[in-house]
Amino acid sequence: MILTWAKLGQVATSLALVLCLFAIAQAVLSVRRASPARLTAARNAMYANFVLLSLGAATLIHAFVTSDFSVAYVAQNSNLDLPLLYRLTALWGAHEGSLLLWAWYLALFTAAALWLHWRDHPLSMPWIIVTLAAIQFGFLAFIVFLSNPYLSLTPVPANGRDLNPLLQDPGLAFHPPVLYLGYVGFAVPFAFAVASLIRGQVGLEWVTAVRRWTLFAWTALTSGIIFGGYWAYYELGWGGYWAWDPVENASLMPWLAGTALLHSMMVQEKRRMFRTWNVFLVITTFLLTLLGTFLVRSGVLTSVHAFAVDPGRGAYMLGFLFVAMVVGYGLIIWRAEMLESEGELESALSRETAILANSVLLLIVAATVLIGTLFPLAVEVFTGQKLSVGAPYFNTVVVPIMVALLFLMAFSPSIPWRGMAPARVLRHFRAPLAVAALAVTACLAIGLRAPLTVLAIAGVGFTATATLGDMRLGIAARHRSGGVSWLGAAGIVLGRSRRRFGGLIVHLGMVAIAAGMVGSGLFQSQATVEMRRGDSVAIAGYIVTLRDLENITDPNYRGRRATFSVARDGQPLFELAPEKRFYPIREMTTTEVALRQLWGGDLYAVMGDESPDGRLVARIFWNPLVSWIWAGWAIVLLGAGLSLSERTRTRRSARKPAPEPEGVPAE
Amino acid sequence: MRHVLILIALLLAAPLDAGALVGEDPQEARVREVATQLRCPVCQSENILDSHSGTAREMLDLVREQTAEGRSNAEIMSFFQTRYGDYVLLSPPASGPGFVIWWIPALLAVGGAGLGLVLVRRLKRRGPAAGPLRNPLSVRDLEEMEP
Repeated sequence: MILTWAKLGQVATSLALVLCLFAIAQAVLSVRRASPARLTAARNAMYANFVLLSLGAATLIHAFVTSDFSVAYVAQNSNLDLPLLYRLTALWGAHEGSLLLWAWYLALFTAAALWLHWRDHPLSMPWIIVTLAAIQFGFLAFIVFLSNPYLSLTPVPANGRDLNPLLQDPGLAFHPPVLYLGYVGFAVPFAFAVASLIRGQVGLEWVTAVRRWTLFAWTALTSGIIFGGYWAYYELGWGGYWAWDPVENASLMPWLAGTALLHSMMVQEKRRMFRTWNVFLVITTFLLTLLGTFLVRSGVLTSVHAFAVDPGRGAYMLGFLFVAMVVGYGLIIWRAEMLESEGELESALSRETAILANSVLLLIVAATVLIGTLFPLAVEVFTGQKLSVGAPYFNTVVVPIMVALLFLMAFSPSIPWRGMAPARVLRHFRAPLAVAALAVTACLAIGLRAPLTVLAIAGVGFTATATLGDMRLGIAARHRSGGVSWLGAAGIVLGRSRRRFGGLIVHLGMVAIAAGMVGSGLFQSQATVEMRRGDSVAIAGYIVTLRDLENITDPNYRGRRATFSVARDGQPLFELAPEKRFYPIREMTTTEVALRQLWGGDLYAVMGDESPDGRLVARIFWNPLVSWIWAGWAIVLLGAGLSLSERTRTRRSARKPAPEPEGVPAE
Repeated sequence: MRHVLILIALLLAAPLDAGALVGEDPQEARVREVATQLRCPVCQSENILDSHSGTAREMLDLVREQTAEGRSNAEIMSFFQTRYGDYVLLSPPASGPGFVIWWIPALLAVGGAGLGLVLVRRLKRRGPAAGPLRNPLSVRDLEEMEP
């Protein structure tokens, strides 16, 4: 057998697997025998691990680009007619390749973490390497033995089976890699926390070290989820972006826990509290990213039976998750007595309390989503009975908590650490309360009565006002004290208080997202109508007229296109041309939504069936404020970027004594 | 409002084309309300309104028929429940094994509230915190309120 590129990739990946074991052994021995040389060897093994996995991924990309159908994975997920972009993204188009991407990310982050933190954390380093190498080992063993993307196919087919047409879309092309960036990013904070638990030094060290890793992972995860929603919105054609589908829930759970972690870590950093809570949150977040990967990748969600078809994979994933859970939570129990808080809550109206309430609520949502997602599987496995837990359930249970969180988002940044007198709090929130009251009055005036709807709208107004007020306060203080112009003051504050303002900007973005969800969730209008050429339908003040129905062809698919013209107040505005495509190789039909983003919302058209006598079933939606969600995401990204640009240790308040180097050994 | 729209539409459409203004049936709103609560039995977690499958179409037609007959939402849902089992309800009934997922979030919420109460109680017992807490915030504090 001659050496092919794919074989080379397989050899590299297998070698990387062996290197993980080597790194673990060397790192443990470096502690046992106090040998720095062994630790360096372990680090270099992880660097080599990254090089080898890069080679492994590169050979698979090469196989896709050159359409090497002797590789089974390529034959199953590519095609000679597939555009180059999708041949590249097909790498993560199915099970085997996406796990390889996961492992490559982990190798990249491991290498980056070792390179960045090597000097700062010599005592934790062996255990950080052990943890990351062990996770990597778990994934690589799975890839090499149970889910090998390099397997060859004989006889070599003349053409491939094509990439799943749903994935032939720029939106989905970038959803998984960004989402995985978030998933895998949480492995680094997890490794730091595990290392500090093993060393028995559960102080500030790990929290300050991983602040930016956590924020980076959170930002990537947020972006991945938003990309997924955006893709679902314009590709799946049911008029929404979030369906409480188990696959979506799988990515939401780590986001919820990660959001709680991000906030709760600040309490440990500033107030030396919540130690147990933080290690619990970081371990839970990481376990939920594993669960998310496995839920989506094991096929268990499609049906319990798909899981049983390949019991090896399923059992391995469950086993892996179980081991990670036992080790993670076991470490907390083992070190329980070391995790006592130094500080204590001093007032019910303090930032710490608000953040605690925030994490408790977020965890309740995460637990609800977890139970709602896994419960039907459990019932089916144990009783054989089939149950559904879908959107109506989640909306009933989760939305009220989310509305509470929306209000809470205004509190934590406004109330100082340790506490604030109730009268002052009330005074501080005068403007937000006024805006909220105004919103409630407006809602009642236009006939909205549902308490949750009214509260949600009031919450958007309240939190937006409070967040903007906090920004204004910071800028005004600098403006008055520094004698600089407002603009200058804003510039100075943005440059100096990057974490504070980054956080406030993120909050503002989240409020925009909430506004978009409230608008599209509560005020969507839609019409499902049968139309002939020339028929019109009125929706949200627009008149949508069916103009034409025609055939379309493409090398990759064939299909039909409907052309609608849209007019308002007698003025013709634009055309909408949704399509239905048929991909012959996979024998799959997809719908291509036509949508137009307008100031108040989106006009959204989907093609349904056509009858032989030329009538088309069309679904036309008016989705108010949907684009606020995407705009909100951009604001979140901006704020997170600002916050990420500040190094945790570089700036300390000059007035306060420097914090004790708690848990940081003299190194 | 609808009439005005129709009028506008007719005025608009007339010079452009000979088509008619088609509208959604007023009962469709209720059909939608019910249909989004029912799961398409042959798809992956889609409701029967969003699904394109034949089964979902037939179920949707049944919902339309029954809505037109003046049956209530609950009656229509229980019709489908007896026909397809609990599986068809996207929000599981609290009777049967489904009670677990309704009770757990409630218990968690009670637990969370209990935790809050314990913390506040402990605070009250200790008395209000002394020290810089009630002092007015300095300019720097206001500017930074460092998280």
